[in-house]
Amino acid sequence: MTNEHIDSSTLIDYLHHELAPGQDVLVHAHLTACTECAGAYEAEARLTEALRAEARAAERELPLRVENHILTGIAGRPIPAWFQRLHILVRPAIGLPAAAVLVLALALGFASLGSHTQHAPTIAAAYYLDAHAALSNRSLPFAQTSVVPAALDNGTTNAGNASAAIAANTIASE
Amino acid sequence: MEQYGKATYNFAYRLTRNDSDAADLTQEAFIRVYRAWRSFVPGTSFLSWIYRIVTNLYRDELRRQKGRYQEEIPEDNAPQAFGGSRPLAVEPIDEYVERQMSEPVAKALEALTPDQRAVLVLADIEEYSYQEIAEIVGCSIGTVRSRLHRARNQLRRLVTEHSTTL
Repeated sequence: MTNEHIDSSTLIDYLHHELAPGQDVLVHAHLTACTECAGAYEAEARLTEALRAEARAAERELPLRVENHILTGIAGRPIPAWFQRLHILVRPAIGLPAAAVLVLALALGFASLGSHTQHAPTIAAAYYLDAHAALSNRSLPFAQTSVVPAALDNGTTNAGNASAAIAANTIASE
Repeated sequence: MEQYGKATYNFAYRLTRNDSDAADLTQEAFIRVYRAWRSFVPGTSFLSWIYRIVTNLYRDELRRQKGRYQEEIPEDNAPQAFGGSRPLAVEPIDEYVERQMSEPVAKALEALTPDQRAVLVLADIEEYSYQEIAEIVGCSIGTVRSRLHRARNQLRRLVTEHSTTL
């Protein structure tokens, strides 16, 4: 590199800091030793400076009418806040996991509801307990101690026992 | 808007070399930004994103016009040759040289192709890296490099031509 002149493409890349570090060092060393290449580099740098100078000279403020047109254009496309939030929620990154959780929760909910309906015969169990109590009253030696609270045992015990016996028969037949 | 409006408008002007087209591009670009703000990736340069939108819009417009260019319409917003936000530290002699050089450079820039001008503006005026330019313009780094080299060679030749005719 130090013996050969640098081509203009490499000089342009060097000017824009786009050379690999090793090549950048070599070009830098060459430019300090070679006046011809240093002159070519200066010409490239002057061209860049001329471009920047032209840009500064032609620099403009954003016209007020353009700013107003932009604001009017934006105002003509209102997006409700709730819609923005909804739109964020339906993004795949958020929406998919949320949908998966929702589906899982629903599935678990239905499953627990289904198992709950299977345990619904607890009503029959209540009858069973009632029947068991009725049978206990009749056959056990301590039948005198009624399971039915005294407050409820106002002559209805027989009727209660009858229904309990029917329930007990029903359970036995099952 | 206050932060990026002027930069976007100037970038659009440097691409189009036309106040009317620059105004239209800036306006459309900001409306697109507003509509597509959700697609902006946090942590990346917001200005680069706007420039990419402006570049795409300009390319679409050129495609639509099929190479037809409009004459520049005089605007009430004349170029601020020596005022406005220019740094005050510039010496008068530099201003004179700058003024002498800016006209042939401006004419030479108008003669470049839109793609060459875009790469030149982004590399030399906006000082973006080749990688960033490739992302803004939507091409490979190799294409950026070759376009920039060709643009600079052509610009140098054109500036020399315009300077001798002054």
